[in-house]
Amino acid sequence: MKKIFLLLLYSSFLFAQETNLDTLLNKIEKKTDLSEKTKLENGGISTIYTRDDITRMQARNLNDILKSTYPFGYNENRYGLSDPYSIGTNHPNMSSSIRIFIDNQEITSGMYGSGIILYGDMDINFVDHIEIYSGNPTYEYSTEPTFILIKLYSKDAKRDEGTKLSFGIGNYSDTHFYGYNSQELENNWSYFSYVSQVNDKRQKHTSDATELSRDKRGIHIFSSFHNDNNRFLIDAIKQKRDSFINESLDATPTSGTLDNELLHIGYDGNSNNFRYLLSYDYFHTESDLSDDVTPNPSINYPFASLSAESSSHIFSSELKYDYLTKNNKLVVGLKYRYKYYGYDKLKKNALVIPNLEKKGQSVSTLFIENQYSLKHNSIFTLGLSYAQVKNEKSIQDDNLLMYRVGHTYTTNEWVIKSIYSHMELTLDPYLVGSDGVYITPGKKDITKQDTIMENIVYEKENNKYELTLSYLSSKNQLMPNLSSGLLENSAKDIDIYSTIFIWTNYYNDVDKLYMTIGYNQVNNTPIIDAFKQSTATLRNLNTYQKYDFFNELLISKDNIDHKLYYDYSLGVIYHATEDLTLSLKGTNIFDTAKTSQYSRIDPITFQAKAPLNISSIDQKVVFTIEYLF
Amino acid sequence: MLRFFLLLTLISSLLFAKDNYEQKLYENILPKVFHKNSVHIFITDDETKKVLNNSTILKIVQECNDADIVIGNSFNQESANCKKKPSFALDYRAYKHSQSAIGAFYWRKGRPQIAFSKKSFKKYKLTIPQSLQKYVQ
Repeated sequence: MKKIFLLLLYSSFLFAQETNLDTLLNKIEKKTDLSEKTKLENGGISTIYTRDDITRMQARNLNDILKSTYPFGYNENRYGLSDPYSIGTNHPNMSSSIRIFIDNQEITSGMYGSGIILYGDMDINFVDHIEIYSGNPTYEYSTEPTFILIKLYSKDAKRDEGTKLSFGIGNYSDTHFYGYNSQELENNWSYFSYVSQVNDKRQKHTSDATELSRDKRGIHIFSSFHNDNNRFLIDAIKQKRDSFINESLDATPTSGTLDNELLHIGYDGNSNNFRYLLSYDYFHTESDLSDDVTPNPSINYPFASLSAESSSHIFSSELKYDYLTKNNKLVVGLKYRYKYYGYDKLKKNALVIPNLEKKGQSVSTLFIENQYSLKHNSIFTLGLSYAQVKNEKSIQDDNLLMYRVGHTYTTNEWVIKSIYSHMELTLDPYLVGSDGVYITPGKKDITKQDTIMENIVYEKENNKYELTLSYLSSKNQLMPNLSSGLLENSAKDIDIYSTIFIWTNYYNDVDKLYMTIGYNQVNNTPIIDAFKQSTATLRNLNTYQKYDFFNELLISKDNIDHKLYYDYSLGVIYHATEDLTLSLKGTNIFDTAKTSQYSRIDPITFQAKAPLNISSIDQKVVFTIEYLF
Repeated sequence: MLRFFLLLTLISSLLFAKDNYEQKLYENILPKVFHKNSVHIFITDDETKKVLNNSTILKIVQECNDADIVIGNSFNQESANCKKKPSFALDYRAYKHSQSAIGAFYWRKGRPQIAFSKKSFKKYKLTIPQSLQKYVQ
C-alpha cells in the first residue's frame, strides 16, 4: 500500500498539461479562491480551505476538514456529537469557544453554547470555501468569547447558477443525497437553495460485547437570498441519532437515541459605514437511554433509564460601524444576545423531575477594534471587548473583559504576525445551575486565558513555508474533578505550548503538496502532569487528465499510550463529462486513526474500568455520483 | 486610506500569489477575434480592469471610441459610442440579453465558461477563428 501511495504521489510530478482554452478554464476554476475577498487579514492565525481543496479532498462533512486542522483536530464525545475539546466525560459540549458561522451569521445553541455540537459533522456541500481562525481572532463577528472561529462561506448564484444532484453510497450501506438550485434574479438579487438527506450508518464498536452505534439519519435545508448589501439565511436540521455511549456508566447501553432539531433564521446587511444583523436560533434535543444496570435507590444512580427533552430560543442582534481614514480602520460595535432555554422533560430512572423551569441568559457586548498602518508594510491591531453575562435564577453573573494586540509586518516574501490576546470565558448555559450533575457546587470563577502567538510565513516561487508558535496560559480552567468527573475551576494554571510548521509546494499550476509537523504540550492536566502530542500531515492534491487524486496521511502520537496512529485517506474523482462526476474515497483505510478515550466505571463497585479507545474517524469507503444541470 | 488598502492587498497577494490565468484567457481570445497583435479594450467592470491591467497585448483605453471591444455587463449605461462597439459580457444573463455581445466569460454550474454568438460576429463582420468554433452557441 505504501508503494501505491508513493506511486500516486510521484504520478503528480510526471504530467504537465498543454495550454489551450479548456486548460486555461480548468486552471481558472482550480485557482480561483474567493477567500481572497473574504479573508480577515488581521484575524489571527488562519487556515483556508479553498473550493478546489474541498472539492478535491472530497470533503463532504465538516469533520473531513477539522480532523487535520490546527490546533485542535476532530473529536466526538460520549453522545457521538462533535466536540473537539471533549476528554471523554459525560459533558454534552466542552468546545463552546469554537464557533461556527455561515457567511456572517453564527449558528448557535442556547443550551450548549456553540453550533459545533451539530455542525462539526454536518454536510458541507453548500459551502464554497472555509476559513478557520485561531487565537481569539477578532471581536467583529463573534458575540461571545471565541478562541476558534470557523467561517463557512456558502455558494451563490454568481458562480453556481444551475442545479446539482448528488448521490453517495458507502460500505456500511450508508447513503447520502443532496441537491441544490441557484439562480440570479432581477435587481441583483439571487438565491441559493440546498437540501441534503443522509442515512449515515457508521462503523460499529463494542464495549463488553455491547454494540455502540453513532448512526445518524436526517435532513438538512439551507437557503440564502441576497444581493450585494443584504443577506437572508435559513438553515434547518432535523436528525435522529443513535447516542453512542450516552450516560451509560460502564459504556454498555442497551439502547440510546438522540434527536435534534435546529433552525436558524437571520438577516445581515450593510449601509454606508454601518453593518447590522438580526437572527433567531432554535435548538431542540430529545434523548432516551436504557441501560442494564440496577440503580442504587439512595442516590438514584446509575441510570437504568434516562429521558430528557430540552429546547432553546436565541435572539441575536448587532450593530457595527466602520470608520476609515488614510492609515486607520476603526470598527466599533454593540451586540446583544438573549437565550431562553431549559429542560421540557427530565426523567431519571423512575423519578420524574418536577417543576422544570426555563431560564434566561443575556449577553451584552461592546467592542472596539482598530487597525493602524504604521508604515507601508506594517499594521498594528488593537481590540477591546467588554461583555456582561447575566443568568436568570442564578448567582452566576459575570463581566468579561477581553483584549488583543497584534502586529503584522510584510515584505515581498515574508509575512510576520505577532499576537497577544486575553480572553475570558464563563459557564455555558447548560452548566449554569447544574451543580452535582455537570459541575461541582458553587459559583465558578471566570476562566482567563492569555495567549501569545507568532506566525511567520515565507513564500518564494512555488513554495510557502509557515511556522506558528503559541503559548496559552489558562487560569481557572474548568476541568473534571478526578473522583466525581464534575467540572471545577482548576487550582493550577493550564499551560499549552503549541507549534506547527507547514510547507506547501505548488509543484505545477494546479497541484500541490502540503506537509505539516506539529507539537502540542498541555501542562498541569488533572490526570498527568504534561500531555504531549506530536502530529504530522502529508496531503497531495493532483490532477491528471480527467482524474483528480487526493492522498492524505495524518500521523499522531502522544504520551498517554505511546502508540503511533495514522489515518490514511485516498480519493479519486473521474470527470466523465463536464457535468457528470464519479468519485471514490476511502477514509482511515487501515483503521489506524487516532482514538479518543471514554471512561468506564463498574456500576456495582463504582471502580474505574479500563477506558474505551474508539476513533472519531470511521474506516469507510464512499462512492458518489454527481450531475450538474 | 489608500495606503491602508494597498497594504491589505499586498498581504493578500503575497499569501495567495497566483498566475493570472484570466489575463491569459483574454489574451488568447481577443487577438484572434480581431486578427491584431494588440487589442484596445474599454472595460466597465473594476475587477476585470485589475485583472487585465498588466497585459502587454490588451491595452485598456479610457474612451469607447478608441476601443476595439467593450468588456463588461452594464452596456446600457455606457455612452452611445460604446453601444456601437462589439462587446464581451461577464455574465451569462448580460450575454443573452445584449445585442452587441459577441461572446462572454462567465461562471455557471460552479465553473468558468466561455461562449460566442455567431449572430453578433456576423453583425460586426467578424469571423470566428477555428480554435474558438467549439464555444459558439
